[in-house]
Amino acid sequence: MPSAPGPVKEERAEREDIALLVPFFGVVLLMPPLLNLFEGLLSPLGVPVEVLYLFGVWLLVIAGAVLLSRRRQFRVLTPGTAVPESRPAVPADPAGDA
Amino acid sequence: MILSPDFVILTAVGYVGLLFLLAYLSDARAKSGNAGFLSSPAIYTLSISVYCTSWTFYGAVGTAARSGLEFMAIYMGPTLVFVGWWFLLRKLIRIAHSQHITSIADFLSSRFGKSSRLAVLVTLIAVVSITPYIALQLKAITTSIQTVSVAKGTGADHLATLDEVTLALGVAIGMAVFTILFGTRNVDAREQHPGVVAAIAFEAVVKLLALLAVGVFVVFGVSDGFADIYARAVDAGVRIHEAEPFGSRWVAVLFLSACAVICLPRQFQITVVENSNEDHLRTASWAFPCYMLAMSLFILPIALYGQTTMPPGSNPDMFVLTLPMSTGHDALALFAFIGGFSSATSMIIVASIALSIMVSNHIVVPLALRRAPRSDEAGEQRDIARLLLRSRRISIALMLLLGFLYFWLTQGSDALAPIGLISFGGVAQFLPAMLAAIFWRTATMKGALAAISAGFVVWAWTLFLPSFDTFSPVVADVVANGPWGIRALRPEALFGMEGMDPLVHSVFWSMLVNVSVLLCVSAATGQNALERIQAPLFVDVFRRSASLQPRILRGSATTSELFFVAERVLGWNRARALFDTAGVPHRQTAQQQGVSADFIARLERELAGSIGSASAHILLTKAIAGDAISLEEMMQIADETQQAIEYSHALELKSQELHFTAQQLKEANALLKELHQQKDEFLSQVSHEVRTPMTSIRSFAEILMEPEGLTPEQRRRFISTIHNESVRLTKLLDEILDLSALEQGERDWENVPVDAEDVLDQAMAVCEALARKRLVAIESGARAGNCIVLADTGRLSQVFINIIANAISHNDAREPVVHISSRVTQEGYVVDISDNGSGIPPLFRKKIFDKFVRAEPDGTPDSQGLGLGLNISHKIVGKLNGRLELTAGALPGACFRIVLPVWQGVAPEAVRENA
Repeated sequence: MPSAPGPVKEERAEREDIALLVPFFGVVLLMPPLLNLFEGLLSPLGVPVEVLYLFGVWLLVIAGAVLLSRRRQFRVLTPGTAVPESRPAVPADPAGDA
Repeated sequence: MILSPDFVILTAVGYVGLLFLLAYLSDARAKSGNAGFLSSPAIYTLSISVYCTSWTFYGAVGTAARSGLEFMAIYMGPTLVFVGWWFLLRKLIRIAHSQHITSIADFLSSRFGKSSRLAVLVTLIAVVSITPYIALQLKAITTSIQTVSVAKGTGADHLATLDEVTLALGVAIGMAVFTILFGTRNVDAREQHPGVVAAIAFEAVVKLLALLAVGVFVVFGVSDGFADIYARAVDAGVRIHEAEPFGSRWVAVLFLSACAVICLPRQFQITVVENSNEDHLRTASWAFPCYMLAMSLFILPIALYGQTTMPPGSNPDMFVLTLPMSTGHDALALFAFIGGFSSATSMIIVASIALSIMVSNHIVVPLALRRAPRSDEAGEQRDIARLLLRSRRISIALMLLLGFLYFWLTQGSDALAPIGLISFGGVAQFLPAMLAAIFWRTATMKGALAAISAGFVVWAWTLFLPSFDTFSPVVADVVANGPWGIRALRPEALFGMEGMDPLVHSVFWSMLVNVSVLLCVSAATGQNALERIQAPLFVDVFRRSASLQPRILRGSATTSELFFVAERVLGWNRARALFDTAGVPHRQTAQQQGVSADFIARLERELAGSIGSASAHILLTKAIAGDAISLEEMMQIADETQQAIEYSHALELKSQELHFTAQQLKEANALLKELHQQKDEFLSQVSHEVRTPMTSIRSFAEILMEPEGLTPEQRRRFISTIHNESVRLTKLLDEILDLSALEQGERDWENVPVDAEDVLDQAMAVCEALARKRLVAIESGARAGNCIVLADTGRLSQVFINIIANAISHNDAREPVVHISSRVTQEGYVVDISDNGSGIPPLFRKKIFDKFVRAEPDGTPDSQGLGLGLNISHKIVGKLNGRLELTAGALPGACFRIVLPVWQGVAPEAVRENA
């Protein structure tokens, strides 16, 4: 079935849940089972692989954070001028506040 | 170059002077409203790196030497928190901005009903947890001064005679003076200190550069790159791999450091309270991890190189200083010393400011407020702003004094070494309550209070107490055998849980107790009115609008009373500015005027920005106490407001629905009007059409009624005319009936598969006679052969005949020809019927298929058609799911095209029968 690329792309541009990707993989990659995969190995450079792995994951997480922070939906308005004025006075779902 | 103690200490003093100047200039710049670079994301990120204290500057190398990669967990926990900023930090900052939060104690107390008890508890725990940490910084500074200078053995100058304790006291006093001068110059609206932040950011750059310089020196100056360092370490028998796989201790350190970067009072102060723009967090989310990565890049090589080359027994904590000195690079050692000094001083400054704000706002001011009787407030009570400043200055001095005392008490023991993680464990007890505060709407104050207290007690028992065992025999005994010999309560093996790392053991038990108590007590207790008001302001901070903030206090105080309160806290200038912008008069003449609840709520937030929400609430309640209404009553008002809002929202939805229905009705009405008009036009057309033959029939009949003067020949001709006219009339009426039948939907109209070609042939045969009479040639062009369509044979034939007859009778060419062709295309079965007449004039082309439209002017003598034929044909073809259209054909005249869908089914017998 031919998909409609327009709306799908648009939706992806507005999604905020992708902010979860970086911390999630950061936690998983920095926890013991995976962390111990390279224990005791020595890389050709003479540096233990677990050291390279830790710094590698660190760089990866930072790179992910850089990419995410450049996306439009993660720009935040200056506080004070932010939410209150730009939103209607009545919340969208009063039931949810009850 | 010789580093004498005099020289080193004077350098440090000079460096503090430089910071002082920097802070002063930045403050002046910020005050003139020209913050510019000072409020940039870069400065914000650098100031957050106050996280990297001397414990990480010197201690990371020591940790790396003792326990390998564990030091990296201290940095990776904060990294994970910052890359997940969207979910936690962003919300904290938004709440802090909207509620004028001044500290972590204020944050928790404000969320849980502005509870003073909670604020006091959090403040006390913070002081207990942070005092050892400050002591650790003092120790780092004194040890580093001694390492850099005394190691040279030039004990001749007078400062060298100072012992460690005097030195630490001197450092503590110096730091206290600096912090008091810059942290408490005024009570700010939002506890922001641009000067201090600028100095901290500068120190962050210095410590990073210093560590990088030492790292580059070790890796590329005295060694030949990373590989060389590892190779030499292996040769010297130094372990380069982890002693054992990463396990629970790694996870515990990761968790504690993640908690610390949120819950440490100094981190909360810098990350949340001093934040001037939420968007800066977006940059810090990756820039702060980058900074920590750079800080830890050379830690391992320095540790390995130190272990390889330094004599056994040398302190690995001081490798950053001793490595450059051992090779005679004293300038580098001095730079490294300044770096370590930077990391220690920045921590001391920010931590003591944050703690002093908490102590003055949550302990001193509430005490002062409670003790002051309301009656004599008019003249005698002290100025609260001055009280605040004084109490903050005293608390800063007190904090440093406590730190010094701790340092003095534990002097000569190695109890300071793990104190960083012990501190982290203490402040981590705030985390469950913090998370509940911003994500769990029904978490209660009692739950938070009980959870923090319980977690704190477990932490103190399992981690804090054992840290004293090396210099206190009593503590050592308790650790070994449990209190009063109860072995199940041994601090490092609760309930016999032995063989665990003490840190993991403590984190496990304290968090288990903390979270369980929070869940159970919150579930078992209810929220009071103020908690119920505050909870949605925190949990739904992204959903709420400012206008919905409930009014906590109703306007029952007079303006002069309120102005008096505001003036005491904010000072006359700021109080006047606040009242003036709100348009509230504050002169003595306006004494008896009431104020709006809005203004009181705003005033309370402003006051909260200076003295914390709990104190602000007490203060205003006291001011309005005369006829204040109860909170329960308030709550009811808030509930009613909420109901009114919900009701109005429902009304709005309803009205939208009504609007939509009205729109639909309007459209339907327009359609009806149009139809009505069409009907009128149709009727008038019909009467016109009927009238013409009727008139002629009547006049001929009248002539025939005259008995004389008519020849039989004339008589016959008149009768024939009457006959012709009545035939025409009948035909007209037939067509009208036919049309009405078509429009209303015929009952006995059944579409069956028929061969359209057969029908067309029959229609051509029917028209043959008319063609011969008019001398028109019918040409048959290319034909489709057999083609089955779904249709009613009679109706389809009617269409063909009508169009062919039209082509014959309206053909005005000299040698009239009608051309008929058919074919099967992708569109379906297509029949083209064209003629070589003059065609349809452009004026009529658009509406040729409408009722009573004839292409000729009315006066044309041959005008026979009624203008209904094409309309009927058009309708029939439409009912057969096909189309009838006017196109350009092979001949110059008009060309009508009939397109019908081809029938896809298989029933050849039926076709034969029908055909």
